[in-house]
Amino acid sequence: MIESLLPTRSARAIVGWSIVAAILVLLWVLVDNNYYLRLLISAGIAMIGVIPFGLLMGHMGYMAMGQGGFIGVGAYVVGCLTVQRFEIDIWAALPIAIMVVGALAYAFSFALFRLRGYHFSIGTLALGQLLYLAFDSWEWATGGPHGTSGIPRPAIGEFVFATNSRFLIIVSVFVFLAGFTSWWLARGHVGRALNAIRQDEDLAGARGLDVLRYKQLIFTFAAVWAGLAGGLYGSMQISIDPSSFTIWGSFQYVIYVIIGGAGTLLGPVIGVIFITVLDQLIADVGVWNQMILGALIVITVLFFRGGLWGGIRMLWALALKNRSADRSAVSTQAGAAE
Amino acid sequence: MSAFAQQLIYGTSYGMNLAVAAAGLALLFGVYRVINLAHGQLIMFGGYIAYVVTTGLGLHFFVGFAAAMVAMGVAGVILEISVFRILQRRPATDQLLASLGVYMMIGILALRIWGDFEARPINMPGEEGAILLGKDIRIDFARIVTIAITIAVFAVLYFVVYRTHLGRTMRATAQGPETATLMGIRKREVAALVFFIAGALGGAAGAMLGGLFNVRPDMGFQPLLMALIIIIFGGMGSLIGAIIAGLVLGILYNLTVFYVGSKLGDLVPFAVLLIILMVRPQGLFGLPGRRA
Repeated sequence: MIESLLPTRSARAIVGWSIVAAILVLLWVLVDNNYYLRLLISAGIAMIGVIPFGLLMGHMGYMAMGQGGFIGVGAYVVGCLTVQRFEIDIWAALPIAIMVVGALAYAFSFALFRLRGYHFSIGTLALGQLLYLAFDSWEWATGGPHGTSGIPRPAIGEFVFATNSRFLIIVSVFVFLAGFTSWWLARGHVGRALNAIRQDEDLAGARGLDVLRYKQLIFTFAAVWAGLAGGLYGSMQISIDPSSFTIWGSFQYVIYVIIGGAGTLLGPVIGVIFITVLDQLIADVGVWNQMILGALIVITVLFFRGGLWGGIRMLWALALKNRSADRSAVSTQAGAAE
Repeated sequence: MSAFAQQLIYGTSYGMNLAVAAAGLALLFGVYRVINLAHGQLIMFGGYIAYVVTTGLGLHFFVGFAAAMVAMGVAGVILEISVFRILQRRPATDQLLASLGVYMMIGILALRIWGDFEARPINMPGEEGAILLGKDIRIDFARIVTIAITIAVFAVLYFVVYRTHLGRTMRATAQGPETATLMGIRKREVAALVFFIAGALGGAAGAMLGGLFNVRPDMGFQPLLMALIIIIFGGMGSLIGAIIAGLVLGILYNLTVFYVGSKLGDLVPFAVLLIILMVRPQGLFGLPGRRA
């Protein structure tokens, strides 16, 4: 049905992204409860980091466990530039933060991509912990254990994005951009290269693919968006301290991707939405909620490899198959009647 | 000089504890090709069991130590049956993820049973006593006890792996699971055995770390991270590599903390990891062709 209405791929893409934009705008228009706005902003900031991370973990199959460190670098560079040591406008600080995170990730990628599989995960885990230690001890730039406070909200002229409702606009724009750039990368030759790397890296290399370059590109890409998410997080929280950027933050990204469905663009988004909703539902049980999350991860990995999005797609495919089976049954009956 | 010697001994005892923790991970990887992040929580839970038996029930430290080893060994077997058996032919990331989920679950369990981040002490033999060497080298008796225990543990481990039939089946499985199965070795039994030994080693490390420092709900993370670095440093799956790398890392850590400062000491393992990755990614005793 979709094929007949929108024959070309680009037409479908335009419609799809228009729907995404419309949803984002509608959310902004319809939600005016401050608490829900806050939840939307948090979820949006998570999505900004997680959608590109999904390319690294899902499409390419490299499970990085140190994204929390990059989130932290983004947040602290913004904090350091806007209040801690300098007084630069946050619009200038954000691009600088992105460049710093990108350069850092690119530099580390040379060492990290000598590793694969388990080793890569452990290497990134160590990198995340290393960055955490840096936030905790480099008092000049980060304020040490007490952190940085007073990070400003962005402003355009007189219009300050101070309220949650206004801040959501910025976050929505970046969510859209993160999704769009990830989609744009995944649909072209980069996406095919990532799939080749996941399936058989040695073979892809032997067939002439510059494997290392693609790996570095995606690792840096994911880190840059994580850094931007960090910068926005700092601006949302106003004050930040090292406890926000522990290994736990890195694990959360991994959890979003695996619960939502690895290897798809929508999977991480669904993961973020699902876990945000779940957090609200099980907030009453207090500390036990981590146990529920842990159990969910184990069950997902053991039995539902495709995650939530994989499950939805499976049901959809089943429904389509039933319908086409019905139709073919009808047509054979018609044929028999003639 | 005397301070140096003292730090050397402290580093040795800490490093040996880490080596025990890492040996469990190394064994698991060597035989079963699996990395178990939940190992960190087995260390923590082992500490708590030793705490309950020694401080709670008032029994001798060695009883608590044995209880921690057995309980965590059984926990390891339960993990194998319930989670890792299903994941045998899955990609590496699946096993890491599942063990991460288990890590979260066990962590919360301990937090709920024993309350919040309260540090709990374990009574160790000879906690007050100390040996004076020369003029002013003072060595706690507890450190010597842990070093002695570690040596005993490694002696038993060596005996089991290299001198018994069970050990031979384990090594055969490590070299070639299919061939081993053809030779009549039951893969499931070997898997259960390996998970039991690895869990017991984790429990032992937890009991000793809990004795030297204190038992806390978050005490498993640091040893886990160190153990992961140690098995890369020593060469994945190599027992002797894990022991040597553990010693080196423990001593380096203690010396840096003492001479430079505790914050830089925390950086030591990562510096070591980075250098190893750049210079010799397969680790000290790893085979060059098999880097992951």
